Amino acid sequence: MLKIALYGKGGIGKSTMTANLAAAMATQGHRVIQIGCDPKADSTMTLLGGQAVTSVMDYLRQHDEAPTDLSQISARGFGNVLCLETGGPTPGLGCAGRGIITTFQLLQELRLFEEVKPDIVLYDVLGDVVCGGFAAPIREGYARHVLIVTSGEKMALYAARNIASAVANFADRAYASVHGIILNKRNVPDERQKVEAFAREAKLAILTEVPRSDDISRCEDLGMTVVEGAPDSACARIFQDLARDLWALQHEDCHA
Amino acid sequence: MNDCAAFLPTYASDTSGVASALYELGGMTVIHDASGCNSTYSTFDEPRWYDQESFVVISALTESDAVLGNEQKLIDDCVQQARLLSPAFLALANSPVAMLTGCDMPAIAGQIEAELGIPCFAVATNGINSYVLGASRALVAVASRFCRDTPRSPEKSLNLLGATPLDLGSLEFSAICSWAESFGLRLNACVAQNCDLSHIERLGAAHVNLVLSSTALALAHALQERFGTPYVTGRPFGFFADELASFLLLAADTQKSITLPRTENPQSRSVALIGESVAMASMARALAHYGFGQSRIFCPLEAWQEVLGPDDAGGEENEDALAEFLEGADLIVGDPLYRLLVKEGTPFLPLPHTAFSGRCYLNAAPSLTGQGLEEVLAREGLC
Repeated sequence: MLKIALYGKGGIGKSTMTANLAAAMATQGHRVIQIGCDPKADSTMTLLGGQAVTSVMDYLRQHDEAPTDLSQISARGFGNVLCLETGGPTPGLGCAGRGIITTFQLLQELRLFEEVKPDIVLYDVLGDVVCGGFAAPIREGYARHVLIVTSGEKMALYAARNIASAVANFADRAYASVHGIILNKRNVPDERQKVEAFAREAKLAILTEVPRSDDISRCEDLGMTVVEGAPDSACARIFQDLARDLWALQHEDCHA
Repeated sequence: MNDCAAFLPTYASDTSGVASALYELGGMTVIHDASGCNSTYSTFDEPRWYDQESFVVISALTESDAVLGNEQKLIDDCVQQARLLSPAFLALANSPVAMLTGCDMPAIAGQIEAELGIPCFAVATNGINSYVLGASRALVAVASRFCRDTPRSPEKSLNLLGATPLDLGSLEFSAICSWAESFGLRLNACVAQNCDLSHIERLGAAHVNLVLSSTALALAHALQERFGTPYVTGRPFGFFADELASFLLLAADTQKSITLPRTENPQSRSVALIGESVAMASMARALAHYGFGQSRIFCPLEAWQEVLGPDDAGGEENEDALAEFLEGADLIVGDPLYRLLVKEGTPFLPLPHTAFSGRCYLNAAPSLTGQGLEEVLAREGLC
């Protein structure tokens, strides 16, 4: 089972990248689970025709008890991708990080992986590794690989640096390691060079470069990924290529 | 407010269960907490505290350490103390605060072990579950690290599992040990009272395991999976002792586990029992001999489903539901503190349970093994 977590500054396009990767992997014949780890609970909407799945935190809020069946907190989206969202506490209250840990424990109790038997699990994680809860997706047993999503913008690169150093801090634990960078372009001057400079400094590879594209915006307006809505577009091909490259990590994991 | 308790205390927590299960094994148990967990444990849950040395410590977690995620302090303190005390292992248990802040204890245990070269493991606790889960997980964890691949003993032998003082007082435990050696099986190991780490090491040599409390069900499953050792659940109360002995001999011969069915005789008097599942199911069988053949059990602890029957109940303690459950019974059995829920005039058989009433009735806890039960029933005018 290949497990990957995507991190990056808020608003940088992590959910777009994750959902498109999930869609591409699904069209390549893999069983995929996408778990949104963001209080906004909007990671999987483009896989679900613009609809939102009941998040785990929403379920707990509405029922005052834990779900007893995966069907209560998941939905099948494009390519039969199983979509889940941690959701978050009432805004301004509670603890979003703890919500992620609670969700993961719950999914373990519901035997998510044993029941669904996925080939690939994608975790779409809010922003930076700000606390223990947001590091939960990279703990032992969860993601083995981290992808950092960044543009050439100063604050996006600042967050990317923080993520890389946070993951490095866990080197003596059996946590995930950073596999590489997805450059989601914002048409910043000298964007590629800026991200390459960061990649050199962090000793990371830029895995792919996603151009700013109206196809993505148009498809998102329709509640779709470009892989679904514009499968012949250049953008869709980028995600398909990246999905194939990442699947190769599965063989590395098997031999590790 | 359904779960509001006006009369009853809570059972000992999972952190106490961990400490109790590992107390005599020569390790160091670290509860990651500000304080409180350890004082509750030493004051109420651990009768050995003042008589028998053990390394059960608290990490003294501060607010700033919790907020800042200063886990290195815990690691450094553990390493420093372990170098001073040279324990055989370290066991880490989480309190509610550390659980809420998402402290990754398995990862920390890995770091400590790498630094010290001493086995270190985390036991999944949160200070909210009962002692059954804590002790259960601790026993499985320590056995997975220390139990050796040993051949079966030449003579047929028996392990006693799940005997921490939270469930069995020393008087009761001594009586069980004597009984266990009286019917043709040699006592191979006791877990975890009157024992040391060598008992864990040789667990695989026995021909059968006797699960004395639900704290050892998971360990019995693990030993069955690893060594094929069958298990029987039960406590040798009253006349049930002979029946239990015959089940153990049968299981040792056939190498098949035996799940004791709950018996029911609708013509006889009814008894409602409240408490730990293995003890109460055994008491129900023992009381059937005295004409209380209609029994129903309420177990407010985890891990009760395997032992109890479809007419029994378990889960969260709710005083109103519990009072309703006891309604109409000819006899009620449970810890003396449950008497508060019993209608006046209803016969009550008090069975002190340290995990529930702490030290309150420690000196009044009789041995109920074999003939001991009859003496208690006679004293209470029940036979």
